[in-house]
Amino acid sequence: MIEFTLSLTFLIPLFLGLWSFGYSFFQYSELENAVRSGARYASLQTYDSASATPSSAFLTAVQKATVYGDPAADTSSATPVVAGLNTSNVKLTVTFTSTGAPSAMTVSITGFVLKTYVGSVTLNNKPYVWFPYLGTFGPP
Amino acid sequence: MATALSLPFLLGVGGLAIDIGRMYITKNEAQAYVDSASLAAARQLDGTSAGITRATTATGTDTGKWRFDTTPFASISTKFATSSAGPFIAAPTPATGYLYAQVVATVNLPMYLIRVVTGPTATISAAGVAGNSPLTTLASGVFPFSPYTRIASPDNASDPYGYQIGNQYTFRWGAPGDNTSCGTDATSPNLSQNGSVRGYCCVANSAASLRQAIVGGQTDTVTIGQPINMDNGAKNTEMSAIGDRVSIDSDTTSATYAAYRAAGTGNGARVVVVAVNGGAPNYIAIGFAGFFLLNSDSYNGLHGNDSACAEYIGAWTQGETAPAPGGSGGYRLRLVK
Repeated sequence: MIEFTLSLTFLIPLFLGLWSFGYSFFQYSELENAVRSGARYASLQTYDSASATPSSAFLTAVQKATVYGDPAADTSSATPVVAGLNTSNVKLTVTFTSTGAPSAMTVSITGFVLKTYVGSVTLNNKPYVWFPYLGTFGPP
Repeated sequence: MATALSLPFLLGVGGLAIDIGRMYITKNEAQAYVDSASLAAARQLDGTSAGITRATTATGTDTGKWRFDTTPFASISTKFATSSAGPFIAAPTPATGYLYAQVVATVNLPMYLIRVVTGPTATISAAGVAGNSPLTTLASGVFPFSPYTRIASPDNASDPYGYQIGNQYTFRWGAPGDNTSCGTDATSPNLSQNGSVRGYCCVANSAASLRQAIVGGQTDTVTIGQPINMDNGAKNTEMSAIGDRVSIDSDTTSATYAAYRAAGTGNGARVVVVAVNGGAPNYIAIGFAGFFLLNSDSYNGLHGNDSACAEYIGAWTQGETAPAPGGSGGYRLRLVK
């Protein structure tokens, strides 16, 4: 009993640490999948802006596709793919060619805090996923 | 004693939580990379050896990384095939028909707690295959004009629509009985048998909707084999919208598609896809076709019963700003595996 009690001082931090690492990795993996879905969605939609700054509607749809898996999600009731993630954490970067057409969409997570028992990590511009733009260029 | 004996088991559990977790993340990162890299490679393929070279280079432009997005992928294999099933070859000669790209990324992930099982590193590999698939339907983005097939009096009998690449065909028809000014359409029978149908299609029958569709591409779904929703009315005031579309392009002056490609300064706004119809009375969509809009001078000022023309370029691929002329039909670049 004494040995078990003493070993708990080692085992409890060990298991909390393992759980924290495991859960953080799980969350990061889910975020990776989310940005991949968001970037893929962005790469296939009609791009309705004449510059590398996307229209509000386009940006919102990409952010919702990333956070909720649905570009038309009702943010008041939809559940994010990772707890605590919201659309303001999703950054969309549109790459334009030198001739003025969209060529790639990059979606990343920024300002999102991964919280665990042993500390927290703020993710800035990661994870991110890049996809070549394959949609229709239709500026207003 | 019990704690010491259970330590190997505890380290094994820790290994599952940490090393296996890192393996999953690495696999996800590698898969995201090969998916985007294979698309970037496949969009360069045009059946030429130059296309193969561009495709191989394109994988290097992918910014994807691993190890929590910090380390570029170093071991990358890019191969090509004529179908999604393979076989995949690194440098096919000749390159004719090689329109599918496979990218494989491999990394050696250092192991910390389960190296007794895996060795000092675990090899993580991911593969992606992308290629051009024929389009049978377009939910949006079709240019809201539907030219008539010329298969009954073809310029090129081997083309599924009877069109000849480089020739001009009629998008908008004048009044019934009037000839058009568009290439061989001008000497062919007036295909516009219904006076109220002038070539506009695929969108709600209103001036505002047509203008928006011409400039921005927000159109109804068009499916091959289904009737095309032709819009009625002369719609004389819509002609300037085509000029507006041309003005979006960064090259508004090239007179031909060959000149446009040679200049290399266009952003693709003048390259459009239309659904070719089989004629009255049902206007069945028989396929998609790529067209090049003429320079803005060709459309600005058109009115009344003028006709509007565009140059046939053959196949059209979604997302391509200036595809090589040739082939026929519409294609979508997509991930196959």
